Amino acid sequence: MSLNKTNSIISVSNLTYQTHGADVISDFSFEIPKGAYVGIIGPNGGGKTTLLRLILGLIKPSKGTIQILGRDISDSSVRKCIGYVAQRGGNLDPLFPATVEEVVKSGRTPRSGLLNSYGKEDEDAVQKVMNHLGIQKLAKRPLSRLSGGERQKVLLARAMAGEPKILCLDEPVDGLDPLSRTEFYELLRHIHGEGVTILFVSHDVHTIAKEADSAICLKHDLVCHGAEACHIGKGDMHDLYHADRMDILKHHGE
Amino acid sequence: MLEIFSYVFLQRALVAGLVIALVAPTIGLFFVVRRYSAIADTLAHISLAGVAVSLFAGTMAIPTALVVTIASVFGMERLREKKTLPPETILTLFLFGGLSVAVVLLGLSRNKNVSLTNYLFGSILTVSSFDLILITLLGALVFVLVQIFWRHFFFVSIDEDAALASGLPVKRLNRLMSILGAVTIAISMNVVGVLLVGAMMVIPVLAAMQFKRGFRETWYISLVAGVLSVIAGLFGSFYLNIASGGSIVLCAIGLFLLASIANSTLWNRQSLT
Repeated sequence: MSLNKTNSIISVSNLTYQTHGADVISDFSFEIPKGAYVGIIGPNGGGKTTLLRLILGLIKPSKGTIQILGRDISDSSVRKCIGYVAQRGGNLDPLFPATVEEVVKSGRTPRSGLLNSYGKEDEDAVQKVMNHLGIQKLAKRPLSRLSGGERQKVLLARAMAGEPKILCLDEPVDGLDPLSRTEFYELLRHIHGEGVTILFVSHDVHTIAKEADSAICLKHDLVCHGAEACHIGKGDMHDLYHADRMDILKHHGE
Repeated sequence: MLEIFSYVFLQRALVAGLVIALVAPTIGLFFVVRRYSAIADTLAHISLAGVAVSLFAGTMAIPTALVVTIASVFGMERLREKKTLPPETILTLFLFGGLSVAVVLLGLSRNKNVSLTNYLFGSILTVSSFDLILITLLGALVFVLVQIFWRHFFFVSIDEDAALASGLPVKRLNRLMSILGAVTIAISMNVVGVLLVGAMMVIPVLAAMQFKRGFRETWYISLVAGVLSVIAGLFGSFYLNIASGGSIVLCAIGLFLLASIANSTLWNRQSLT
């Protein structure tokens, strides 16, 4: 799958991000079409998470533009169509006194108006997503009594409760056991099947090769293949599957 | 026993205390779960500077403290958003800044001994009719605003990045939360005292958190803990002739200890069965 299509849901143009005087991402452009399943891969310090945080609007680019559905990411209203799942439970404090249902329901907050309380539509959406992800039985359980895998599912459910068009995930299975990883990626594949565009960060090339339809590859020297993203088709990734991950990155970077 | 209710000043103190018992844990809950409860102490010390300004300038204590504390909130939040200093050091900076301003102004003030002790430690005698009206109106305002923004405050508190990524106005919500905290502290000064007002925002919530329930339930329990602390504390203050602030906070700590014991007993039983 090519990433350069006119029917794009995410458009990144001449993106540069600098910190402490150094380029983390330099003059980077790419487009992601609707319904794509894209992995962002690269070595540690390569700017994967930075790129995701730029797309999420959590940090501002030094130069360039990021558009979601044709609107600039600085327009907060467009961000309502983005769901976000952070690494290792993100900032979720296990001591935070909240039940699974309360956390999932909070994903509906950006969709509901300021003065409205949660309505039947919100309740139905929450129940549906919890059933869908198989966490209905955990609904009344406090966060402090969840395993790592369960916590990631709760974060995924919260993101999905907002009925996003784009789902962004940062190393979503980091710290999970192999069974939980497989289960989590099965859920993602199912969500993708429903038309949601998925963008996820991973440092594991095997995961990208197995799960994603296409990839954005970030080089270790922090420059993204000149002015273009590295587009690796699924076939390419399978060809490269047995290669050393650094070799793959070098191969596509040079 | 019920002669306490025959005194008008005690009736006023009780009403003011109950308003604080409902409002302080309501906004305090969000500070505690964000591990940002030190802001209560910082705002309290800044409100002391406000009291000092009022004694120096001859203005009314609560409105002056309110203005000074809210102005400081904007300064604190601006520094926090810049992310050039760790959040706790910003709180420390403003805490000592507020205390220094208070010390200097009180030194310059002629009538410095008039009511400073009352504001520091709380006194049920200091609640005037005007104060009671102000405390009730502002307390109701804080309570209602927290209910309106409850879902937004919850999302920002549990995961600020996710809230920002989904388009919520996180900066404005953070400022609003801090302003509501500042208002709560300004209206609580007379009854609980500047030095102990932060405790009423934190300790009932900590007691409620011992039960490991959901967010709403934790809030309900914290309200019960707050109300019990104020009632028991005011009775103690009246009959033992002790400062109301210390009496109320000691009752809150007592409830926290009881909740901790009840919680550990409950968990031990559950793990045995």
